[in-house]
Amino acid sequence: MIGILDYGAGNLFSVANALNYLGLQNMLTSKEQHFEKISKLLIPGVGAFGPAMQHLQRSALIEAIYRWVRQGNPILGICLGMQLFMESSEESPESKGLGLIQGCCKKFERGKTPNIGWLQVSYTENSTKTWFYFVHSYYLAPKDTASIKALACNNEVFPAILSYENILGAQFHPEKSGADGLNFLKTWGETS
Amino acid sequence: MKSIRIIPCLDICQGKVVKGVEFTKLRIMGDPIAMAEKYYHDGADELTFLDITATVESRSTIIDLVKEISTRIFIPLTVGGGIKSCDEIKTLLRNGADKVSIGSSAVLNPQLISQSASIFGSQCIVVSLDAKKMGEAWQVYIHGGRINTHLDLLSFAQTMEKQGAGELLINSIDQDGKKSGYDLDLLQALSSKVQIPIIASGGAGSLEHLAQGVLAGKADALLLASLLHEKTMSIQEIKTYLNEQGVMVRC
Repeated sequence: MIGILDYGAGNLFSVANALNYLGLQNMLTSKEQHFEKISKLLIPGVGAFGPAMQHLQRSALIEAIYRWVRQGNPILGICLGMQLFMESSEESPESKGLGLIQGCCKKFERGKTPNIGWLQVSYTENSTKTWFYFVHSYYLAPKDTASIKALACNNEVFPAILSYENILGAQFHPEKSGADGLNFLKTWGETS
Repeated sequence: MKSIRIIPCLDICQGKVVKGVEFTKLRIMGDPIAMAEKYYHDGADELTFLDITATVESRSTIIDLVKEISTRIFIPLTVGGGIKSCDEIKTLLRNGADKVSIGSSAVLNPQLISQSASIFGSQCIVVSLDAKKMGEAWQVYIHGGRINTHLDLLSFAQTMEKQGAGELLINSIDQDGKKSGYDLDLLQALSSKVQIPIIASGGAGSLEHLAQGVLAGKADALLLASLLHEKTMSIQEIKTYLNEQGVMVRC
């Protein structure tokens, strides 16, 4: 059972639609008790960094997420959901992030923002290239670059996929990236 | 590098995809779900649904439609047509739309753009502008191109960008339906004035026109209706051609 974190923002339904289409069982997760029923946690993302963190604080979900990650359970963050893993973001300097990954989120300095559209993602460990759909104005700047599993380039090169122990993050929206996006979700959803 | 997006546009009337030859003469082109699925599998990068009647009944029809389509099509979906309030935007986004396209209301109530962008994010707010050339400049028209607002298009586009629009859909009234090519001066002028992505619509009749829209006009995306609906060309043909012209497309 995949828990889709409901934190007031986000495109919960698009993600749920994609998981349903793939036959992956899922439920909205908005309370600490829900964590007992799930085996994977997915943090979707549309919205802004500050309000998202504030909502997590208000709903007392931050401790539950920390415990979840500490216990080695799988967690996937999509777009803003992944950005929340960082310590901070230039989008909302007054808000602290989850700090699961060292580093911050930076605003694109060059080119059109938001970065909306399809970019070809290049994996760092092999020569695979895949198209994914991106919608964002901020990008990840992790301290430990070894966690970057794939890169994309708009006017600047930035991390597209981040993987660190049980933590996986995608800057793109797999639920909106056609067949390749569905494959990405399927791989994560089916790996135990 | 970002790929240029090909966006089929489905004009919806009474649950069917239609083509408006003139306002009173609507030709039925097909079933929206079947057409949307076909375009998705043909490689469409996004889909746009326009509620061309924009009545209370037609809005609920289009909500049901997007809800259904979002369970089987996994690319961004935009809905437009008569959107006037943040509540309507919220309903559409909650029912499967990823973005909304706002036309007349952006002119009549520009605060709607800043409000909706601050609530839902710029990425889901597309401002749709109908432009007509007047001397050396262009003016903004609303209500399906029937009313001239006398607003200068380029400065209004900049205002929309400042208010928080995430993308601009630009339709040239002069070129619309002529199939003689985009108003490239308009696209160029616009893309030099704003930083947000520009979606070109209206005027293309050939593969060469589409390439010009991107290469000369600097459009970031191409919105296509009858060229696809009437099978003048397929999405694959378009992408192959654009690719040959050095335009990055998703394949």
